[in-house]
Amino acid sequence: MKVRVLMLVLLVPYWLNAEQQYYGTRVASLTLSGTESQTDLELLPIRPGDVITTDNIRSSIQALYNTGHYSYVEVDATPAADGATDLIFRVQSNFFFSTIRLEPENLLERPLSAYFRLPYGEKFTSSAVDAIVQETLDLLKAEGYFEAAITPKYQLEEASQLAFVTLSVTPGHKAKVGSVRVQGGLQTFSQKELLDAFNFKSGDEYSASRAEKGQANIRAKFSELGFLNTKVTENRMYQSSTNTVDIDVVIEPGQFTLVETPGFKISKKKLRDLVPVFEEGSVDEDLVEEGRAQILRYLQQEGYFEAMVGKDLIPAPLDNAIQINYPIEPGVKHGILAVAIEGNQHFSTDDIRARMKVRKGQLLNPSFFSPEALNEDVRTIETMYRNAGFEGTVVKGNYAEVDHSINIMIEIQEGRQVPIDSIVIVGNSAISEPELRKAMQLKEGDLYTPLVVDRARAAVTQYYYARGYADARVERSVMDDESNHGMRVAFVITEGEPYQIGRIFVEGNRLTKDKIIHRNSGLYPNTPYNPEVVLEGQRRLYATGLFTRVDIVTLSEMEPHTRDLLIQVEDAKPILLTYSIGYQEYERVRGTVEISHNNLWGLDRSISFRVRGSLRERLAQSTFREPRLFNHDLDGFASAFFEHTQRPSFTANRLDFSLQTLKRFSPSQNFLFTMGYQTVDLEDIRVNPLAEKLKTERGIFQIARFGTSYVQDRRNDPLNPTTGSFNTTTFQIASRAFGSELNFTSLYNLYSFYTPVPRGVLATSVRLGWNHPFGGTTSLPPTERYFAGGSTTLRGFSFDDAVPEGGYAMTIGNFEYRTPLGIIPIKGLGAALFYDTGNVFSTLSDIHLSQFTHTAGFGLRYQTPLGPVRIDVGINLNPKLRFRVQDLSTLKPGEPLYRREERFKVFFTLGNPF
Amino acid sequence: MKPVLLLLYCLSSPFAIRAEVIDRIVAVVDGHIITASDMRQQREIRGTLGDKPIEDEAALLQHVIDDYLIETNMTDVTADVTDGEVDAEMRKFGPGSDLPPAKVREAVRLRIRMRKYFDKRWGESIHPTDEDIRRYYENVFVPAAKERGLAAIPTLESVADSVRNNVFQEALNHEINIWLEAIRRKSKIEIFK
Repeated sequence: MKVRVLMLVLLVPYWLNAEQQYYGTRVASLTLSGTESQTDLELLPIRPGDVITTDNIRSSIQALYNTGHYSYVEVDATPAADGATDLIFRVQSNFFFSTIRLEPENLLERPLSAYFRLPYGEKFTSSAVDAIVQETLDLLKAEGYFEAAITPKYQLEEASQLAFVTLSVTPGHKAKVGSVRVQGGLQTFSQKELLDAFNFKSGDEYSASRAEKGQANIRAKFSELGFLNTKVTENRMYQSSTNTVDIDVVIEPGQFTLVETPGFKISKKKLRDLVPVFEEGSVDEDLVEEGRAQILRYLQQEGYFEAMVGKDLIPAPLDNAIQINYPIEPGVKHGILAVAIEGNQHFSTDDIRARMKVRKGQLLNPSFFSPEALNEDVRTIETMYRNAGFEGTVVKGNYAEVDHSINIMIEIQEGRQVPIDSIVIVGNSAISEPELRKAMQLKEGDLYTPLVVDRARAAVTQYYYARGYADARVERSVMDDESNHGMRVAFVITEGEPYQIGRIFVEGNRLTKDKIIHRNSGLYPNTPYNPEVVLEGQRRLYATGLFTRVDIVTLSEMEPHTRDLLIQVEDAKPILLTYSIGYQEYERVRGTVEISHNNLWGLDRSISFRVRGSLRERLAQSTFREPRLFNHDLDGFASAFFEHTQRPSFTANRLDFSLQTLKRFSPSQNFLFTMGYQTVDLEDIRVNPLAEKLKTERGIFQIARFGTSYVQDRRNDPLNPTTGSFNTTTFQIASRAFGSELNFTSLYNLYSFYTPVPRGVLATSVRLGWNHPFGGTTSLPPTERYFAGGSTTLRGFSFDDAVPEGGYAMTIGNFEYRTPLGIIPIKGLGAALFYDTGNVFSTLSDIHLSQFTHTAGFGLRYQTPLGPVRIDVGINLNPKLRFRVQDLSTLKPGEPLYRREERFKVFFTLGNPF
Repeated sequence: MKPVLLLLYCLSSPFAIRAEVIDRIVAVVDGHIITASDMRQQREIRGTLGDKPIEDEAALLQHVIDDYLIETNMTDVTADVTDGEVDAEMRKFGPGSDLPPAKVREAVRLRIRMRKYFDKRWGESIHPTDEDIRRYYENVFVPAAKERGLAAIPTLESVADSVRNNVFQEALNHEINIWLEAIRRKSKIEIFK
């Protein structure tokens, strides 16, 4: 009995402990558990000695959560001495999504990131994982995996606080199509036609994307017949017992639409281009009105400046057809006599004309006028002056009719350019005003234009970014300073806090090594966090060609003023097989096949094998590339090729080995150093036997050479440039000292530049070449001579035919005016007028203007994604006499020894001449 | 044996020090934390305001989450609440709990604001028709009355007003639920068990 009483007495404190009120007691100590650092304790509103209340505990939890370091916080209390309480704040650190992978990886055609946005760099939560799982399941179902199940697994790495998620998929079997039925639309097409258009039959593997294509095909069929607003929906019913999908295709054909233009004939094809109801596939008031405006514009372009176009919608009685009438009163056809511009001094007349819509017709470009276009041009010119800093510019546009032609007059009263009177900078504290003034490169007294002020604002913003102030904002305001008749410019700066880059994590790469990614990103720890540099890092990684996706995300601030970065990538497929086909007038059809591995051992090294063949050439080449030679910023190449080539004057087999080093100074400038060893087997030399200056070399010989090249490419588009320039200079030396059988130097320069001119581009190219034998070598074989003639050099001659035996010096100039051919409404069609001059000479001293050939010509161009397809007609303006044959013994009696060079040459080829 | 047991008992309890969780994060909704103390407070407020108690923690948490989502999303329609309206509502309730009066007033203000918002957003456009009332009476009211064993089932005319209120409330709740469901779908909600 005593024992029982004793036990009961001893239980009382137990019960009291269970109900112990920690609230109201004083804090004895504070501890942070679950993280190494205790510094966040300093942020807590509660301190040792404070009385514990609900509010200060809750506020403390809030304060810890607000740091962004923790996903979960709990507060544990234990009794301390003297009735006080020890508080332990137990936390779970935040983790951030790093990689999200599907297993098996080849289940989908593309990586998950290509289908929907993945939360890389965002806080890891199980609800986010659930959302990804659901999206992935929906995606798998759309691809036919109706039985798929996903088990998410994740690995949380404490050191980096990154979360690695794997979605383990049990896909099941892909569903097949069961039955396909079509409902609706059978009055217009047969069931078979509609099923064929849908392109899905029983037994096919189901995929939602293929079903969508089928629906689009059916819509297109109806649209071609003039039905608009055609609705095609796919109702699918999955049968789990058979793993099949039954598809009901429901078609509502929409309205049959007829468009007529009484009063003026416009072709059906042109009407389809002008009236947007066909492209949009629907009929509504806005689209009909847009059609009316387009037809009016078209008529004005054709010279019917006073045309009037109405619109009428006439529904058919059965409500499934509609006729749109655009009644036209074209008026009298006009021409434009002149477009005169007066009063301009700051902008040239050509500059202004280039921005105007109204224009007088010229060769290959029709005239255009309408009162609305003239008003638009007036506003455009006013904006030009305003953007150039002119205040108070007045522009008036008038026109007068003279005998069915129109005289247009633009009168400009230029306002005045005002200076910047004062520049005020406010809000800066971390960076001094003198520094900022120097950075913005704008000072009092400079002429004001909106552009220079915007540039100054951008320069200040970039100055802050470069110092880690990633959140810096610079606002600008401009006011008239009436007292001084100038402008007062103010820059208001919100600096924000400076940040440094902390740790840089690389994830997602399966092939490419981390060090390659770090190196190419250009990002380094403990450097200022500059968002533009981060963006540039992303661009640089994409530019390597090694990745299909690059994301650089900022993780939460773990240390004060520090931002950790996560570089998340997906490796591109390293092995590429490419093939192409081309055409050139001498080689005819040419085909190329190339296989390459672009990421050997994950180190951005590449090796390629290329085979090219045509009627006149066969080439096999292998190239190895090292992107960082001797651990320097140098590209190294080792190349070997075998070539069999038939030129008009000779046939040669070449075996070549070379090593090259490339130094890129900038994206547009690089320098190349080459060492090469070549074995040449010359045969079947066909040259003028009377050309004594150039003796023939036959047989096999070796050439060893060193060379350098400089390339500067500032063209806006390498395939079809319209502005910029291209400059390359190459110098080589071959010498017996290197093991060469021949001694000679070779110097070659090509300089091309492209200038936009009214309605086109003026392309100019100048080429100079000089090969000089020395030291016992008196002549060079044809493989080391210059040749000219053909679609890329002198277009008055066949390939290599300007001087068939070639020469040691060459000078060629090409001038070409390229313009779009607006008169023929085919997109991408253009024309060119050209003049080629120059020649090939035996020696440098033989260069003389009197020996220059002159070719004029014209051509048509058609733009393709691979460059222009062109037909050029060259006219030799000074055809010379030349030998008819190479072997005099083949001449028959009475046959002339000489013939005159042909006058006309036609070339059909791909690519610009230069 | 008994002395040994006694010794063991003395050592195990009550002087053993145990850590007790006095507060923690139970959920995070769009970056807003809901703690165990918030839940306790909600329970007390519900008691003070005469609401039906929710014993299940999970269900109570869903209510708290819904209240937060509603409060942060009812921004498109103005629903101001005056102090007078709060005072008038407060007079309906007794002295209630140990909660600070400011917290109770805040809860009451929120409720009035929600009511006004719902009325303005949807209530003004809900007008139960006679057909709706009749259907509700026949399909819901009468079966419920029979189930309760009422001897005499009131006529439609006698209960029309309260039936109308019920129909109105059901329609309003339906709209609120659809709206709330859409908000939940686009919100990030993390629950810690």
